[in-house]
Amino acid sequence: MLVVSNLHCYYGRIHALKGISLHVKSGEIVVLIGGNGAGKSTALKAISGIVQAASGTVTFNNNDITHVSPDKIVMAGISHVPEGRRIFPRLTVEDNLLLGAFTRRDSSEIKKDMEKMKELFPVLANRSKQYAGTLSGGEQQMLAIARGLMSRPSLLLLDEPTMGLAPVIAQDIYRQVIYLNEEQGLAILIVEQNARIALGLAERGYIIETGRIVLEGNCRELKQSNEIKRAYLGKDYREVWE
Amino acid sequence: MTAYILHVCIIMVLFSMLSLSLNIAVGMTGLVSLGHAAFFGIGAYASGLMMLCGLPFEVSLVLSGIVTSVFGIILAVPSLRVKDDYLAIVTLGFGIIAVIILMNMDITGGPDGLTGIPPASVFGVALTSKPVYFAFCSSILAIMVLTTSRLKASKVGRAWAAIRDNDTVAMFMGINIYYYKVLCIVISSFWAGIAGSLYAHYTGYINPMTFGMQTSIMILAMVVLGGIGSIPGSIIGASVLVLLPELLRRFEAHQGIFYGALLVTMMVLRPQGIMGRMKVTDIFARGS
Repeated sequence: MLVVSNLHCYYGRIHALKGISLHVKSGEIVVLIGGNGAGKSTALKAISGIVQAASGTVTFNNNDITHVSPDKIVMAGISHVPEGRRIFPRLTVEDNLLLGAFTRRDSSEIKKDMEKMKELFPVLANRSKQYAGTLSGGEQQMLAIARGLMSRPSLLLLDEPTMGLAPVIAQDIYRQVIYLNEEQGLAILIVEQNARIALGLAERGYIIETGRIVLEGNCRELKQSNEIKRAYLGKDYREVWE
Repeated sequence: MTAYILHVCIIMVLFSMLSLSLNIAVGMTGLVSLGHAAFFGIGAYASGLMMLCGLPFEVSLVLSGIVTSVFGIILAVPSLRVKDDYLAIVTLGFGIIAVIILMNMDITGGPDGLTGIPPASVFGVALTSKPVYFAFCSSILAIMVLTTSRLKASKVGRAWAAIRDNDTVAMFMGINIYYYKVLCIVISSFWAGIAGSLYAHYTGYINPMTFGMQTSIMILAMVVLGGIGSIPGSIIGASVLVLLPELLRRFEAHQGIFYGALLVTMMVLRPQGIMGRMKVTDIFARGS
């Protein structure tokens, strides 16, 4: 479905992505794990066209979208939920959802989808006329995901959806993510710092470090890898080194 | 006396148009302009020149709006690469350049300005009397208020609001932010041009200094005082700032003090303006 090959990106003179390659098959959850500044968010932004790729290609459903503008990429079926739940604080919950459907023209279907989102995230239902800035952190994240779904994507890019949230709420959010994947067959590419949650959730994973993919594979295998245990899980430190 | 009151009313209506047109850019889309009076001037000169060339008023009124929009595009295309405070500086420069050009061209009459601009007439009916002209300007303001509020509630208005709140995230939503920003400037400058045309035919005489930085700042003050992003606020802000100097006329010498004190008090006590929800700092000087 999504194939990224040998992608390079620069921020000015900083070489942020040094030739990463990854792919997402339809109906799959894939996770991208890495520390601060590893290039996780940049990778997602390059896929959704917010950051320009210097070289390499991104193809989606066999179409080259490397240098396609962000609005066309949304129309093609990729929706990006940015990190830090960047909702539009001075607009109502409803307007936020409508903005998610900006590229669509089928207003009756949009209305139906709004109702669906309210069912999926009941907290949003009672607050549809409220300014989004007044929601709690967890509610804002739910709104951000719901807004992302409003464009009816076939691939959802989730950038650190549980950042700064209480573990209980994080669990709630991941429960919805799994539901979306299992019940609706939505392909999801998640960026996550919390390797433990991420590896438990996805089928396959990629480990990114300073702009390079250093490890990839099935999540069950990745969890067993000593390298992962040492660097990300912090477990069995002794076992690895002695 | 009635003539004087009507004169003040007409000026109030014209400045309401200006502050509402600026509010489309500043309040609805978050594009801060410090050179809005230049559009006012371009509209006034365009309309004045066209009528002196023999075009009828109806045509020159509409054309002056369109000509001003074209200048809006000329400003917008290069300057919308920057935003926030940088955009403010670019528009400030635009305003200064516009006045200098008007001041130095032969066709615009240089610093003497244009004289003998014929008064407005619609379909053969002269709009020379003040009550009639007031009614005419008010109805155009009404059209403007109507279309602007429709626009604000539409998809375009939502795109503008998204750009104002966070233009990177607006991109994530699939909004072509460049297109919507240019569209915003086109509409904003169109209405400023219309206001300019109405002003030119009202006074019959225009000169470059009317359209300088002082007027730009004044219009921005009307927007901030009335309420950033608020349509009724734009009209209230303009009315207050046009009326105030008139009411303070008997205190000639101290007029400026009262005027300044009111603005300062207002910003301390109610920073979001009379009708608004947003503070200046929400638009200006915000992080990312």
